[in-house]
Amino acid sequence: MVSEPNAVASSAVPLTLSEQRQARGRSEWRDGLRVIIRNRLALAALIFLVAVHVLALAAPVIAPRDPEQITISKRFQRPNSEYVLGTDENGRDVLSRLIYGAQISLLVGSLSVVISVVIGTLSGAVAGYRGGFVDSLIMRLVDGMLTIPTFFLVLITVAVFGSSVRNLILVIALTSWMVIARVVRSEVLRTTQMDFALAARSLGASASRILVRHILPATVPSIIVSTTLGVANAILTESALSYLGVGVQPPTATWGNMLSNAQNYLFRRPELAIYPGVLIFVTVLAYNFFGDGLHDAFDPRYRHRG
Amino acid sequence: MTAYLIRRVAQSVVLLLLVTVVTFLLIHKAPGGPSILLSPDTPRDQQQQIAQNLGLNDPLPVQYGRWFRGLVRLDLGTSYTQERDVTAVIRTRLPPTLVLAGVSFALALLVAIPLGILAAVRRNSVFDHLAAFISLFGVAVPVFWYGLLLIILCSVWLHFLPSGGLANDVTRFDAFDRVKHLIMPAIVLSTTAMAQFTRYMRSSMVAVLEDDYVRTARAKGLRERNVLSRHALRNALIPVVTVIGIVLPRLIGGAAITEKVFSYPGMGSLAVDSAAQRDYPVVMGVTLLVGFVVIVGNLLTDVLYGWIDPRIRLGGAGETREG
Repeated sequence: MVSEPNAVASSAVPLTLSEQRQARGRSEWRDGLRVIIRNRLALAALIFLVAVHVLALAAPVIAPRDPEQITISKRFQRPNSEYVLGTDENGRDVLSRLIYGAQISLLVGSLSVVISVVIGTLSGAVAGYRGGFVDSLIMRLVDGMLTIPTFFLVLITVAVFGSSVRNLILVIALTSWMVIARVVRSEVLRTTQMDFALAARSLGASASRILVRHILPATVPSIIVSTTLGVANAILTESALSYLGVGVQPPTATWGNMLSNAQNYLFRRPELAIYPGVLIFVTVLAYNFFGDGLHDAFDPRYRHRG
Repeated sequence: MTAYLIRRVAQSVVLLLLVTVVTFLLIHKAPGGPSILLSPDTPRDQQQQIAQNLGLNDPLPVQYGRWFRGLVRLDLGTSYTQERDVTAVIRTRLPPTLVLAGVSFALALLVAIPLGILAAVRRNSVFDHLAAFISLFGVAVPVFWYGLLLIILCSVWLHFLPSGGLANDVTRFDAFDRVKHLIMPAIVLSTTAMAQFTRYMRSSMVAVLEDDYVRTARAKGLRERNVLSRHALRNALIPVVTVIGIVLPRLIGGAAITEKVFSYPGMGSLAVDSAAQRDYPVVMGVTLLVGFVVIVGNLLTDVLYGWIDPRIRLGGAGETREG
């Protein structure tokens, strides 16, 4: 995946190893950015994701109303100048609930993935670098966890142990680190064979230094790609749990529990069931497109195309 | 092959035992326990009495032993909420789920295999784009929302399919009515599996079409149809079998959601309801059954894989390493 550092090869003055690596790193990121910008879909996805995150963070400023303010006299309002997207069965402002709902989805999505990346990277790196018994122990655990119906496990655990946001994040993280562990392990196996790792070892660098300074940086692109897909999956899981009533509890608005309320009024106000779903779908889709774009961006085969 | 088979079966048995222990511990670590069902007005001594009757004061291994002895006799205790044997509850809920899962699985394969082949053979054609769409849609769409959309479309607006349930009248068996109730849940549940199968079928076929023996077959002048069906497809189907191992867990998770969306009285909705009500005996029963299905499913997949691919059978259990 890492190409010959062609920017470096053409320069007249020989560079030191670390300068080479830096130069390559910088041009890699710049080339990658160029691929993303050229890839319209990935760019649109990125813009959408930034917008959703800004909306979620600025919810108290942007949302027109209190998302939990119940006004029974104004229930099921059609969209009007006062309520842009109308109101739900308790007279709560749908638009404000959608904006606040983004907070939960994105919070659960990003934090659980941060934790799963840490677990996955550590276990994958140790497995790949140590090899032998440690490797097979970790990888058998990964194999085993991959055959578990994760959603089912998460559902039972959250229902039994309580569905605080903290529990949701932990349970999703603990059931989604396996793919990252596999990716990191195979990258570590590949990179350990490369000359620069060998050079570092022959210079007497310690195992942990080689791993942290030389090998792990090479795995960053793959980790980032897995991360985007991980966020998408975590958002899907959280919204499904909230939809089933075992996730984040009402009155807190989440996209998932808004859908679950809306289902009771499908025949009366079907559009209430459409908005939150569109947001989940488009957000998850955007993470997928952005992830694909990043994958291409880090892949040298795509980088220098006209 | 026999040695391999014996080893895999032994592994599966150990795993199953492990599942029973983990299930038991998980539920016993759970806060509240059955006393949560009692109203706070219940006198203390009466609470003690109930705990005594349920055997909750015994040491953990004793409780596990008792529970496991029952399990061997298929006695999983009594549901807290339904006042029926867990086995009886599961027995009424299992058949609808088997029908739903079976139909969804078949539907996924029926669409995915031909579509994956066409997409690989005619790259960048309409079929290829359709395959790409289905793979992406199945990964990104929230299952419950897709279900709701179908209900809005088919039940609320077009009025031609019932919005949920098993049948209009469960006491009478009306095949046409049952099928009508099955259409939307089956479509929804098959989405994820269809996406996975399509993706794998296409990439496997693409890889095989570049292999030397396909070129050889073409070079010696075989008709394209024969090249595809006899040489390419046979080999391309082999790795797709392993996808069953990936699809099965997702199918189970998907069943929980799909059944709730369509108020379909199967194992999935039973799992969600009993978990939400903390009906621990039922939760344990369902978890065990799921564990059993997954472990046996994986065993069968491995055996099937070894059986259809002589390289695996004869070359010993080669470790597959994915990137």
